[in-house]
Amino acid sequence: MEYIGENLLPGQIGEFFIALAFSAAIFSMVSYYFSTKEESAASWKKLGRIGFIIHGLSVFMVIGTLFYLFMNHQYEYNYVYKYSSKTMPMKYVFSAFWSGQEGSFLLWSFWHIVLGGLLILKGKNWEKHTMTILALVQVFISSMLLGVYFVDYKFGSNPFILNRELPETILMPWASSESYLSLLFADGRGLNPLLQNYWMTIHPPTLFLGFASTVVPFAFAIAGLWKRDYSGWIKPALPWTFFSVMILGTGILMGGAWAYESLTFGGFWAWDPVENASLVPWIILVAGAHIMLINKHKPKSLFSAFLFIILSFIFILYSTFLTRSGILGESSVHSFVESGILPQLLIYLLFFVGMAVAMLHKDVLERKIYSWASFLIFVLGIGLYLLDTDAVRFEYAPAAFVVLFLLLSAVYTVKAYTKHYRTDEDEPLVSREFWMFIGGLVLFISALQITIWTSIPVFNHVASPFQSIYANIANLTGWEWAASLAEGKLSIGSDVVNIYNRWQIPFTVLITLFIGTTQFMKYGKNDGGKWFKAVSLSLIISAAITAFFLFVWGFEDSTYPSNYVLLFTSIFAVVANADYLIRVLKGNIRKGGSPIAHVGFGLLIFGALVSQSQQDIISTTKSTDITGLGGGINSKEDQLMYKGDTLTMGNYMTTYTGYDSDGRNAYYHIDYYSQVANSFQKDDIAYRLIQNLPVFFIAKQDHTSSPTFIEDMETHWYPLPAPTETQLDRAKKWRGFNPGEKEFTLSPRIQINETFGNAPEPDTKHYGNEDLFTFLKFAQIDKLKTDSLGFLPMKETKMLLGDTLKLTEGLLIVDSLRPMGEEKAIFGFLSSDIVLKTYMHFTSEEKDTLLTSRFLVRGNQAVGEEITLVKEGFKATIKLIQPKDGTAEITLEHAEKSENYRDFIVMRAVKFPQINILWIGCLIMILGTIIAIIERIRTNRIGRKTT
Amino acid sequence: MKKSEIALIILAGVAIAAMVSALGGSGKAETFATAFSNPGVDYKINGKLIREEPIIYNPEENAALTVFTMVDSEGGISKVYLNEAKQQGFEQSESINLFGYVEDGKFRGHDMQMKCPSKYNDQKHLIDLQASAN
Repeated sequence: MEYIGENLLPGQIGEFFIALAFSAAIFSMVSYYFSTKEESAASWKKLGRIGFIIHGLSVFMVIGTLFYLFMNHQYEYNYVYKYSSKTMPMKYVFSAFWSGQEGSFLLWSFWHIVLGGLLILKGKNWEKHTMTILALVQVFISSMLLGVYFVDYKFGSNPFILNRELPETILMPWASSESYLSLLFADGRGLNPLLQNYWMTIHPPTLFLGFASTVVPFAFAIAGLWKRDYSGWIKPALPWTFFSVMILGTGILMGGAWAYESLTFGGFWAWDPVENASLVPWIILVAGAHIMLINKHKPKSLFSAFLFIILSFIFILYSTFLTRSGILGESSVHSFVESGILPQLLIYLLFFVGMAVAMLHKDVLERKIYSWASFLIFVLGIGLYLLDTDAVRFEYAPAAFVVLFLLLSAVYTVKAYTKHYRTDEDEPLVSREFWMFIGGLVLFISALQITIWTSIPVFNHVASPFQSIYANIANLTGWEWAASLAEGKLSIGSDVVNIYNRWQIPFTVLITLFIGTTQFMKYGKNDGGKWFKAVSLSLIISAAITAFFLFVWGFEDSTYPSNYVLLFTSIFAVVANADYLIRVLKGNIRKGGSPIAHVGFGLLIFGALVSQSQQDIISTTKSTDITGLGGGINSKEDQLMYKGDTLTMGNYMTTYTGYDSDGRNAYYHIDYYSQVANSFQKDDIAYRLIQNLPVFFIAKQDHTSSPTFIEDMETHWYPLPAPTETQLDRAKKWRGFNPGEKEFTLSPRIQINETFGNAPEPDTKHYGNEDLFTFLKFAQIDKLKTDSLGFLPMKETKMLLGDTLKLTEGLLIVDSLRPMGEEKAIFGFLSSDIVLKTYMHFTSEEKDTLLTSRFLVRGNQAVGEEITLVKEGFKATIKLIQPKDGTAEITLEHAEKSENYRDFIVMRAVKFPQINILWIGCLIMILGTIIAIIERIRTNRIGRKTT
Repeated sequence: MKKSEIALIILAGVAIAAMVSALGGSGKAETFATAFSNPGVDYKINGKLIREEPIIYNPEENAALTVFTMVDSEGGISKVYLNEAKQQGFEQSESINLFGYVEDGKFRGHDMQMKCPSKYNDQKHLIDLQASAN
């Protein structure tokens, strides 16, 4: 039937090009594969290139079509509907494009195509093999976009599917109504406000280029194994590998910068599973890249080079599996739950594991045995799963067979090592190769720790068929982890940041130490004494700098003693590499890529360590605990600020001046002033609020105040228990400081979005040596709802006799209760009525008023008399009186008028010292890596010319 | 054996042993029932906010106390006293990871992570549209 307003042609064009892209990728792969055999290699290669070009152009067409749909607000398309809306500014259309699964796969494909193009141009005699691998990868990724059904199972997810074509909606009544479009989808759902910023425009493309770029070193490694040229692949692959290190690292760091700038957890790394999943391949890639360097001239640890480069790509696939499949489920509050894609991602991952392990074997027979065994496992796993019925349960077959396959792969990997790669040659102890290798190992263990902890939900899932076995183990041994696994409830615990830091800080200590020591080692044998002499200068300087920092800052850290060691080793990494650049390389920047990059890394670690461990929360509030819970709940770190009040915060005086909102964002303005000590003259009257009641003091003499009242109380103040009327008029709240010059204004904001929830975003003052990071914990955004008389919604508070209720204009105190006796008759009450007369009083700076309210209980009905304070805009009614703890508890329902309501916010302010060093370190590290890449390309080119 | 192999085996052995033992000590997601029967012990509880029950946050009285009611993964319901300001979007949260302990018969939370409505969870949204369309 014809649906009014639908524009179906672009979708159909898009779907056509997806199919074409998929087919062309297969064609390209097959052609390139045949080109690696000798017969008519040249023409096969040409076909491979043509296929890849067609594939590339098709993907570009798909991307273009999807952009067209976004720009033209075609909300009949589900993807456009989900991620954009008419009110979304078009500059965020890029963010919208890659917010979703399909869009991010397209972005990934895009980069693969660009890299493929470069490989075709520059790959020389490696092109045929590497492009076969790349085309194969593209077959897998293109399949993620197909959205075709094979019997019951859906392959991939089509970005051009219409809202009415989804499995959940296809049977809905509106899906067969021809005018559904204008009724239901006139506007899109809109992009999550947290993604409507420039970071979402630049971070994903950079990060996805990082992901995509790991395929090139992997392709070279497999090509090396395929061509049986076991070390020749390293030199051409090195620039690509370091490019991947650089760009993936940049993408990851951008994510951290984004988190720091826009999110309010006050950091740049949360050890969230999604973050960890991208960091792990990077760490392994760094290890692999360094091991490739060792093997550049003399292949000594080829196996490790292969293993790490292969693993870096495998972990990219694993990371995409973790984040997209939904397997992290409830354990990560950031997991992106996608339906149905888990099996495809898993097969994608396991296929390349299998291919890599097979290729590691030089013996064709072994390859065949392993491949067939793996294939058998695969078929059995799927077959048994499909046979799963209520009678014979096989639903856990896939999990079991995945484990079986991984075990087989591990065995075959070790087998390949021992059979083909093991050499008896041993490197000297003091040599660059040995320590770079050890460094690579430490990096690998660090990555392993992160990935194992992050994958715990996967363990729970995979262990599910074996729960009874784990229960038995737990019973026998009392091991807690077994017990948790038996219930599928293993988890890493509550303090995520500390859990990872406890492991990663010692690893980082080792790495930064090696970064310093190894730079001074040459390849091959080194004279230990000479080396130590070279390094000792850096050691001494670093120790001196460390001691200086400890002394000047009073570096207090009770959480990790290892922080002190890390402080030293990170400084050492910087100093040693700077020394190397100056003394050994004589300041030759062009050849200095490596020391520069390592200086950057050392600074990054130093900046991270100092800013996080020395962070200082300067917002404080003293709050009496009136929750009846006893000690432990006090708001120490969040500051409550009424509009117009000036409060001390750290070494500032701050005033909240109000907020304004443009409908999308509400900005709350806080002025920051310098602090000037307050001064008092003899006989000045000041008061302090103790338990919300003012206590008065009179100054003994002229003096300048100390920061806290306690310091001055003995020497400068007499208590004044009964101030006179005139004294009360003169009384001012005691303050240690007065505001001086206004230094700046910060406006932390709240992004308003009803669909996704309001999102607070920080505003930060950047100094050279620290950042002041502020954000709102609570603020009133909506216009306060009032009733027809201007009263805000009623609130209910339970009060015991003697309790105080804090109102805007003063305090309401419940004094006593008295049941009415014979006078009931005078007021028209029945003798069977119970009437409780409640005595309260309202007190403020200006007055003290007595109030009474009668509470009537007749039969099983109870009603209270309303009390009002007209000038203060306050009304209250007693709802319930009941005995409690030997006294009476009164439930009071009360409300104030909005005009008396004082606007307030609750905010937090944190100082991060030396955080700029973190960002400077990032930039230097990226710069150094780029210099190294350029130098590597230059060296390779010269090397080729001379051979 | 080569130095590098020895180093690898030692490093790997130590790491694996440490990791396994550390995992044994790590907490697992628990229920209110367990927390209430072991007061004073810190637990992680996964569950959902019960929106029908009042969410009390009076920053003027105590800027870091939010009181709400939550149901855990096994249906256990409890009031929670969370030592934090009410987070933005709390009412719309889809699931909560709560960290805290029981003291004096009350569950006191000190940390909370919440999952905002998933960007991808829109099929439900489309089904809800039917109600608004008719």
